[in-house]
Amino acid sequence: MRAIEAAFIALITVIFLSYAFISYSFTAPSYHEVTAERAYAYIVLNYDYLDEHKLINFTKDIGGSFVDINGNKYNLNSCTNCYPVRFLWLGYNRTYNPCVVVVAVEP
Amino acid sequence: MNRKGQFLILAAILLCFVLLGSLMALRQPNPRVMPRYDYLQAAELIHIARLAVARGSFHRSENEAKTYLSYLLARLYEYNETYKLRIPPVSYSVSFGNGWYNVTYNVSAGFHVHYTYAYIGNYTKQAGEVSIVYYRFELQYYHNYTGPWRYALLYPDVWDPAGQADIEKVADGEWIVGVPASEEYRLEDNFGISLWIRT
Repeated sequence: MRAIEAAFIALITVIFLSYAFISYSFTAPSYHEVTAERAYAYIVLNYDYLDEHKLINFTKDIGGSFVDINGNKYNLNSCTNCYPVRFLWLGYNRTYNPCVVVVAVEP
Repeated sequence: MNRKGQFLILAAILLCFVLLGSLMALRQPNPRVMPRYDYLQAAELIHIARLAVARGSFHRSENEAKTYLSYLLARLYEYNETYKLRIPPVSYSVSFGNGWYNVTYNVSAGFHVHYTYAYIGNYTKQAGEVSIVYYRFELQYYHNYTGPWRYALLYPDVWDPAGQADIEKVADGEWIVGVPASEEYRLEDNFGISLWIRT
């Protein structure tokens, strides 16, 4: 009898944990990613030349986890459920000088 | 010991979870729509348009801007493949006029540069033993970015690559500039776009 009881408790615990995990991981507000992208769109529009410090500070301000600029990674915060936002500057001041930026942002 | 009550509670809790699960499964789908083309994609397109206009305006050539924009778009699509930037296929038009440059894409994104200037007087400056006549102009200058955000105005800084002009900012997008009297004088904004002042 105790074994059946234990099995029931275990089953309920597993169901609860699964439900909690799924609720936490997959039901983040859908507009988070779009909002972060819009923030970086503002940066792309306003600056032709990539100022790394400005970008890192901006990412810090909006709660980003890391910034990767052309492979140079700057860790800002630990990140459990972050998603990447990718964008690039292809150049500045009439010159072609591509710079790929990947930023991790948490909801 | 009677454990019927405990089992009943456990069974009730289990039933609650099962009912919740069933409700979730039966619920109307709630699509999480993420726009494919949004601010960032439009900003990337405008960024390369601005680079192309910078080169075209420097050479005073609409064709140069078109050629460079075509080159930059090709590079952008290469990165688009690698990094999944969600840049849609676009067509564009480039046009230059007296006091304006314009790039318009067919996907709700565009870049317009506008400047006007009016002669307001002249003055002389002493350079060693030579006195140089300067013409003073009132300059108005702005960028207009159109995209999914509708439109945004930006008032870039203006400077003189030759270092001879007197430039004074009066307000956002308004400047008083004094340039050496010559047929034409080139100023530049902080994105490398040339402003040609015909004196």
